[in-house]
Amino acid sequence: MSGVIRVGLRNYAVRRIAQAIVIIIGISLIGFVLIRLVPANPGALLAGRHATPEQMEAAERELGLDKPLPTQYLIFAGKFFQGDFGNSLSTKRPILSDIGKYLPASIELIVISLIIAFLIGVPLGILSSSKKDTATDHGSRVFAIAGVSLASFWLAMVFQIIFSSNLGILPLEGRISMDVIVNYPIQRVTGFNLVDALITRNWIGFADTVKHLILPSLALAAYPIGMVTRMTRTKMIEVLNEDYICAARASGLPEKTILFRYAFKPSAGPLLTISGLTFAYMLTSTALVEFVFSWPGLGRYLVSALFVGDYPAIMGVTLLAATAYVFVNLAVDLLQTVVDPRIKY
Amino acid sequence: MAEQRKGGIRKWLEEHESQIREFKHSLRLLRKNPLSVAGLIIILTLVVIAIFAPYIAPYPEQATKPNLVKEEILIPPNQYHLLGTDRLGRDVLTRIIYGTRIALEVVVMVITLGLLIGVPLGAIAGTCGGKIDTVIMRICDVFLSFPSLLLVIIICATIGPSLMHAMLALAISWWPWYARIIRNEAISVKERAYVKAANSIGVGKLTIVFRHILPNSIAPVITQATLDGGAVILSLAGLGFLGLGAQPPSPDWGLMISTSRHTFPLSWWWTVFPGLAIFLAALSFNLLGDAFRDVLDPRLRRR
Repeated sequence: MSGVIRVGLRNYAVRRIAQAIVIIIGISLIGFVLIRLVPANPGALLAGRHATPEQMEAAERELGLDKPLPTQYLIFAGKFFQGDFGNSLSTKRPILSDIGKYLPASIELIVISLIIAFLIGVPLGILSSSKKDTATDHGSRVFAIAGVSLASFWLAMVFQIIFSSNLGILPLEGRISMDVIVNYPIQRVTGFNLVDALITRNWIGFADTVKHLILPSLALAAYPIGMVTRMTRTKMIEVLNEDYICAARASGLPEKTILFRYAFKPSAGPLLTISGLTFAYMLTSTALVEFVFSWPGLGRYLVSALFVGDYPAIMGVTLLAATAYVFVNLAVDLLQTVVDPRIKY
Repeated sequence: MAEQRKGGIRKWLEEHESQIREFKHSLRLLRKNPLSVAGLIIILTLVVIAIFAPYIAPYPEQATKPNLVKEEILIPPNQYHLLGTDRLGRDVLTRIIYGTRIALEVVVMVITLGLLIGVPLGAIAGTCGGKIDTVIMRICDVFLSFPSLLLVIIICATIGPSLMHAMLALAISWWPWYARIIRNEAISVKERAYVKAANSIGVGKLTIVFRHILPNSIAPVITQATLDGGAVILSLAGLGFLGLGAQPPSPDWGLMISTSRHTFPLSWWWTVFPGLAIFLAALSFNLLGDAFRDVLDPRLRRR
């Protein structure tokens, strides 16, 4: 019996991975169409606004504009799958190495926001579902819907107005204060300031990092909080309508046990799916929030690239982010089968 | 002729009696939900504001102060300028009112375009099945696996920033959702006895699409489209903020917040009020969409 299940799981995993590969090839096709077919003059776009005719020619040669289209795609795809997106026009470095440099700051921000979103959203959703159609329920629904209706960059700026410029209790922007960099520098071990400060027992650096994280991570978390609350509520209401919950109630189990032990477990699977969707939202809205807070992450790198027309960097970051998203979803789907054994492959 | 049409309508009503009863029941539930009523009222107000903008707005659309004297620019809210003025002395309230036109226009255009592309493709995939279905749905997968705003950003970066391009890019990233809903509905409807019966007596595929598949998909499509209204407004604001949407001097809300960064955080009113408009507009669509979903999804109703 368990052998059958394992074979089923393996088949599902193989099928799901094959699907992910097809999608990644699709992403490379979209990238190719946008770089090569849509622009009237791809060489000029790739070489930047201030390119000399020689630079433009070099860019055209690199694209292989004289070769037939399928060959051009193969050249592009070959580079794409090796992670070679060319050099950034503004930093002059390979885009992949730029990405490696800015990625940890972004991941730190995104992970903290996700943790905040689940810590607030899940209990609120459970509370809301257990008191369906009461004032508590309506209140938490309005809160959740308000969360998904806020423009993250605007919330970020409002936070800056209130907490930095008026109250002056939290830093306006950046990832760490200047005087901490000078007097108590955080040694770079993993690139994640929070972790590095902990490992090296740099408490002043740690406190400063936390202070800088509060506003951006809250601004970024508003939308996911709403999404998680809504999803938890919807799933919990579905589950609470099931017969076995009715049976549990009839047998006199305390409401708390029913809610958290019997009803929440089947709702956990869909929450995993939501975290995949949330990640997609984070990928773009982190760009806006990082830009507002001058957070030295990948998002700000993308926005500065947009402002100066650094086309190779824009393409590199977005295509790589889309690929990362496919892998996150793949991981979520495979994890799902572990969390929820009822899933049919 | 008119007599005949009347008979046709009556016949249609009789045939769909249970669906109509269901629909009326849904409407009753919707009216009882204060949140959905609030959402609907805000949307209607925004529509009225957008249509009558020239009569409501206290100043002409692009009115700047004739001579830019220091005293006339960046005025905080007062009795002449309820929401203050911007760097060029333009009334913020007036610009927000005109911005309503842009936001609603884009919502309608993006969702209409998305439906025009998505519905036919979804119906084709669902009714034809086989290879055609596989190809269309794999294309959908690729688009859906692209974080939507990222796709919009690279399309805009490639074809150049403008409101029209932002609208097109949004529609391109939106249609797969509708295609998927219609396709799933088509597949489940295809298996029902009455559709199989219709098939066996030689009713055309197109007739089946129009008489059975589309009427059945209306509820999920309306829910999705309403919720998308909120998402489109937020995406548009983000694009405007990044300079990829409307260009100055357009009174686009996102663009206004973006330009307010020049004097940020001294001119808080220039930042806060356009953002409140974005929030209210997105909120109204989300409130209504959420209520639709609750009412139209029978699994969520109280037993």
